[in-house]
Amino acid sequence: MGASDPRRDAAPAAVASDRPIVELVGAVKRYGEVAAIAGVDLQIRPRELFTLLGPSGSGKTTILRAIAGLVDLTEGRILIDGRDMADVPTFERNIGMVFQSLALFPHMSVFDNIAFPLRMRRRGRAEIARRVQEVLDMVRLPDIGRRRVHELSGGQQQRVALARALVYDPKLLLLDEPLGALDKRLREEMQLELVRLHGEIDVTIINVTHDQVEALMLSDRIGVMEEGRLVQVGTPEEIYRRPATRFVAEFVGRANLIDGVGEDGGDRCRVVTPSGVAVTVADLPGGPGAEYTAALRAELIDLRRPDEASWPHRLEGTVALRVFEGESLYYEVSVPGLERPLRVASRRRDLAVGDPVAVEWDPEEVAVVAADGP
Amino acid sequence: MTVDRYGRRSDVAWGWRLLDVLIALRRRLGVDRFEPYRPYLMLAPALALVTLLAGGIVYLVYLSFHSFDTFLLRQGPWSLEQYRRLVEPPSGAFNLQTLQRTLVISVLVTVGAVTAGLPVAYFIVRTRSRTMRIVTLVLLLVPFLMGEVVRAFGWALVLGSNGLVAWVLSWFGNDSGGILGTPLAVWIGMMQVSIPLATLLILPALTRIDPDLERAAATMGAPPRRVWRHVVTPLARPGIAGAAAVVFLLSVAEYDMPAILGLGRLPFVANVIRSIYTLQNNLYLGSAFSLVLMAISTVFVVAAVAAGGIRRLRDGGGDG
Repeated sequence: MGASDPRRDAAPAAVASDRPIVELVGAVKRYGEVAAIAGVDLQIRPRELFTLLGPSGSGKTTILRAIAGLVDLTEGRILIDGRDMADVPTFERNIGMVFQSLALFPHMSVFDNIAFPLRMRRRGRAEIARRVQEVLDMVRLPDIGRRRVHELSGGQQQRVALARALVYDPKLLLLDEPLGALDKRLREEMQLELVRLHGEIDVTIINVTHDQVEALMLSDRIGVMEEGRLVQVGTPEEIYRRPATRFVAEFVGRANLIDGVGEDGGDRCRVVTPSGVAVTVADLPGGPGAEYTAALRAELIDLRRPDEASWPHRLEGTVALRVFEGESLYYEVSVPGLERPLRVASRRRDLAVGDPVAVEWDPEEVAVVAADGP
Repeated sequence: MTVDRYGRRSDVAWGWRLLDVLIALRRRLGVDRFEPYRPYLMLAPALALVTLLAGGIVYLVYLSFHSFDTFLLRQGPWSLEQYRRLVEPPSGAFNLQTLQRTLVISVLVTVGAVTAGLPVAYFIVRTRSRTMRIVTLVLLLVPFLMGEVVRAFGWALVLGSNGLVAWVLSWFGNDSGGILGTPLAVWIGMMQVSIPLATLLILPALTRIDPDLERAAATMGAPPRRVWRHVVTPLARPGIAGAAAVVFLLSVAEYDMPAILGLGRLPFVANVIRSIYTLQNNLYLGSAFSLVLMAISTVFVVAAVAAGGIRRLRDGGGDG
């Protein structure tokens, strides 16, 4: 499934081994009454960049900490390289981890920070100096070894934290939202840096984030978390195009969710709301008659003037909001019969608030999710 | 209800009228002229206190550099006589021995209190259980609820000839009758306040340490012992130095514990100064001894603060 990902094609070291490097079996972590992880089964493949995506409090950081051994599971097992980690303390797991706070030692220089894991492994002085220089080159900060941590900029600190987690060649690198605190431009730069590093070194990365753009951009696979459960695991494209639940459809991307009953309308299936608005879709996974949510992605639908309308897959309404966003414009179109206006990202600039428009889509691009139950 | 010619109702706002009067008075007196000096005015109590203490020390210096006729109880001219008398026969050897004992036991108390206080403080900061944290803190405060003398006599019962320690020692065939009157007894008595004090003083420094630093160290392969040594202790250094300085200063000035638990056989400088003051009526010699002790403890404290990194204290505990 990674074959459609151009970055993966460029990296020759393909996903080869079938044995997962990390495996969670029935993992549960309870704090008193509250379950931070409510039964998670997960397999991470060697060399992949896996992202745990979810809102804050969904348990993604707890999973990461459990893998690192910083949190003990209430139930279930964690296997790394096939070995049960229950009795292996954190300091023997040989895992690299970058914390949200970065956790650089303020009382040490950059060099001493990066040398710390090597000193804990009692490596020789010459080897330490060589390895530290290598990783500093790798994160493109060759000349800052002597500086103190608080003299560095946010982006530099980020790279130092990354270098420190990689200097001892761990097979597994855990990232606990380390990019969260950076401004947008720096964050994007670091994301590309991560992709580059992942292509260069033989490491499996588990990344935690609530930023769905970051998840879609970086990951080989994504696991979406909701309230301690893993609700969907898949490639970014699967998550984006075929969300498994309403929650995933809403959390990933900017989607218009329309709830209704599935109908088989001749050549096309439709999801029809109680107010009678019909959304044409490619197919109904559970057959007609059931409750569905149709997710119309703001980026995958477009606007036409009513007279330009080219095909029947559309809804008509009026422009209620128009916001300039740079590369595109953001419109909200109120459609009679829908509670919330449709959100549309479009390149069209010639529409003003109050104009009558048609919102059009390709039924193949509409994700259809069976209703989550009551 | 009446309304006067300014439209003011008689039944309301006496409080507001009072304020009007005060504001008018303030304008009349021109209080606002002093506004720029207000911060300095607020410093006044602190300045007064410092001046008073400094004045006392200046007076001690003045006394210590004068000769004194102990027979006629009359002050003589400026001289180094008191300092000479402090180290020369007949009592010079005794004074120096007292000074040495004071410093040695104080250093031992300081080292013991900080060594014991650091793990306790760490426990209070890192324990997940709120109850345990509160219980420990309350237990730490208990020794301060008792007077020093009461505490000393309490220990005298435990350490004395009919006490717990004598009883335990007798199991091993040691019938010395307790350890009262030994340096160990004095040390134990002083530790009771010093450990909680050191703990409370180290606490804020530990609170400032981000727990992620310890977790990060663990992921990088550091077992708890080395996390403690390479991360916690260095970051707590300013707090440790501060605690050491305070405990040492209080120990050096200790009076009751050596008097009671040392059975008078192991006087500290304070005990000797008291007898110089009250038995020999010699304020001049006593001042000299006080100043010598003060000078020596100042050196110790400056050394401790330098070792703890005064620079780091200024950087806010080093989490910059």
